[in-house]
Amino acid sequence: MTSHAAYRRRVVAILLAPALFVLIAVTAGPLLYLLVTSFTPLDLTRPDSFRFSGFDNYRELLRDDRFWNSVGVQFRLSAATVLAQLVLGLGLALLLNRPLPFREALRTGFMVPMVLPPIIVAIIWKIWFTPLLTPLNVLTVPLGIVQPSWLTEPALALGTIVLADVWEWTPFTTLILLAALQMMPDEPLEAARVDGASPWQQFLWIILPLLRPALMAAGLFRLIDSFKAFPLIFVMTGGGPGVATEPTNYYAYTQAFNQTFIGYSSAMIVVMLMVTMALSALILGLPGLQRDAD
Amino acid sequence: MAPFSKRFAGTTIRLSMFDTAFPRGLRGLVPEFTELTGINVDFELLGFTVFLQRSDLELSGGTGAVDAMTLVFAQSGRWIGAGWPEDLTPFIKGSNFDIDDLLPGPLAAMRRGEKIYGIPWLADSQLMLYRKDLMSTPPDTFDELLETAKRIHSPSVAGYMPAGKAGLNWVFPTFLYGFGGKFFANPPTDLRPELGRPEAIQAADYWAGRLLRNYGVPGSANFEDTEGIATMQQGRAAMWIHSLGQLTGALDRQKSAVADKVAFAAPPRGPAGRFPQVASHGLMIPMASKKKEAAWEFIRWATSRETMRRVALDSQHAAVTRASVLNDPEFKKKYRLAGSDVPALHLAALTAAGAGYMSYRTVPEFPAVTERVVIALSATASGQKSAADAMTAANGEILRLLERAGHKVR
Repeated sequence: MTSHAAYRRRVVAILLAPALFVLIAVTAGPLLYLLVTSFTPLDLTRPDSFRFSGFDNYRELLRDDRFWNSVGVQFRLSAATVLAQLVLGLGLALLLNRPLPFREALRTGFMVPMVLPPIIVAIIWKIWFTPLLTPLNVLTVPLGIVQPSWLTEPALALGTIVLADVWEWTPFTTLILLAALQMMPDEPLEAARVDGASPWQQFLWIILPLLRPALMAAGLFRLIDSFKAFPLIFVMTGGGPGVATEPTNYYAYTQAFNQTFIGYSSAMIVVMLMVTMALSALILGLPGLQRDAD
Repeated sequence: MAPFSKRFAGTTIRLSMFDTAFPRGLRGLVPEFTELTGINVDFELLGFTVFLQRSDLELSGGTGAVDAMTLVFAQSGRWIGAGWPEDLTPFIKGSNFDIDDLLPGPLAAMRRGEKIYGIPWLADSQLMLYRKDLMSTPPDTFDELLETAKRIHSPSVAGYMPAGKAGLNWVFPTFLYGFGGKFFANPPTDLRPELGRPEAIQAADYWAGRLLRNYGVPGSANFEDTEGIATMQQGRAAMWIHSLGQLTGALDRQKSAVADKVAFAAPPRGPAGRFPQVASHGLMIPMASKKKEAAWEFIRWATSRETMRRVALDSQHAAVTRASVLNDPEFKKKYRLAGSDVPALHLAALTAAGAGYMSYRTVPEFPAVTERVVIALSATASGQKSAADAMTAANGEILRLLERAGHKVR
């Protein structure tokens, strides 16, 4: 009954239209504004600055040392956190997959860092790393150890952010990998055991390849999230010392909200957006993300 | 001044200020204001950096969510230039406000010709707080400062207490000008930045590269002013150069372990002279406020002679802006602290600044300029870059920044 099917399609379209319209307005509107302002030198304290200036902001970005520094910081931050979270997450998932006593309680306990509000996590770690206040003093003071100033030493500051971030988000990768482990078929492992494979060989040749899709999914999630690292940096180091812990989104934030240079900040964000989309496309296109049973 | 009435009884105004001595003292008196006028005050006290961010957002968004707020000295050029504060001249005339009692220096920053955009409540000067139990005389020159800090510095008591991010922004200029350097060639007309010159590099090397790096309190680069005050109160630093409004926190007898052991002196002088920084913060009404008359009632009460005098006497606010309060015998008695005549030091700083060296701070682009300088100093103090590299790089960025803002600087 084609005419009835066509009628149904029309009705569905009309009913969906308002929701779609709102969705597009809410997402596309700001994106469009972002794009438009990136082509202006908009400064909120100077109303006459909403004028077209072409690719000036983008050219300025190329010459901006502070921008390139922020890219470097972002790269190091993302690489360290994603790698650590995958490795640790895998280890934890393998552990939690075993028949342990109090397994359920353990699993719930391990999830706590992930469900805490990020700002709370940031405050906790800030206190932990502030020599004047930290509970670590209970250990170091009697032993006469002088703690370095974790958050203001250039060599250590980024490390503290990485540590806090890994503590907060490893439960996420653990969850994904644990779920994948539990869905894994027993037969290949059984067969390998019967053939005399060692646990390490079982892990390397059976478990790991079967886990590849889950690993890539978890890795991709964490990579994209690592671009949004904000609460930790805002609370713990403010981008300092100097600009040692200032990734690109934080730099963009300071330009937009400390200095009201909206135009310049928008250009930075557009660049970040394109890089994120390109990265996602690259990773999603990699072989192995599909569940191929080899 | 016109008497207060209950014309606006039942209104609630929102007040936003950053945390320092005067608002802290003022907050305790607000119930009296409400009784006098029937106006309720929603008083928000924020840390300095958070206050700045929120204020920028509020002012640029023009939401009208705030009815009265602090007009920050270093932002006054930028905010008044953007047209964000309301012109208060009609309110002043209409209520016969005794504007002439206010010190001309602090008022000048909020005035543009005949129009006044803020009423100053703080004429902040920079002084040096020092532990008289750790040194017999305070250092007078930059060299003496470094020597004294080095001599005293130990794991339990740091030689020097840097004032965190606020300090990099606010105290560095004392040393910049003390070494003969400056921010701009001749503000406000000639804005060529001079931060790559030898004097500026020398100042950065001395201040960040040597004093802060070696003799500062560990971790203090991240401190907000409240943490700095707490550190001083715990007796963990020997000297501190900062605003009078923050230093007086160390005198709080209830919280400070060293209230009896501190004294005040003028900041040290360098080869080019002594340049204590001064700033004036005021109260302003955002253009977008919908309760301007009620907000003005609050402002004229808060900055009135009686209120200012009471806050100065009951709390630790010494940086007053009214000549009548500065000359008040009880005020003078309270702030004469063993060996240090604080009102005299304060007045000396304000007078010195009359020479005009503070004009760099009210240039509209100054906030963006100082952000880059703070980063350079922070990099120097943490050993990431040499003073020469950091300042030269900052100067280059500032040049481009000023050009983008439309100034001819090359």
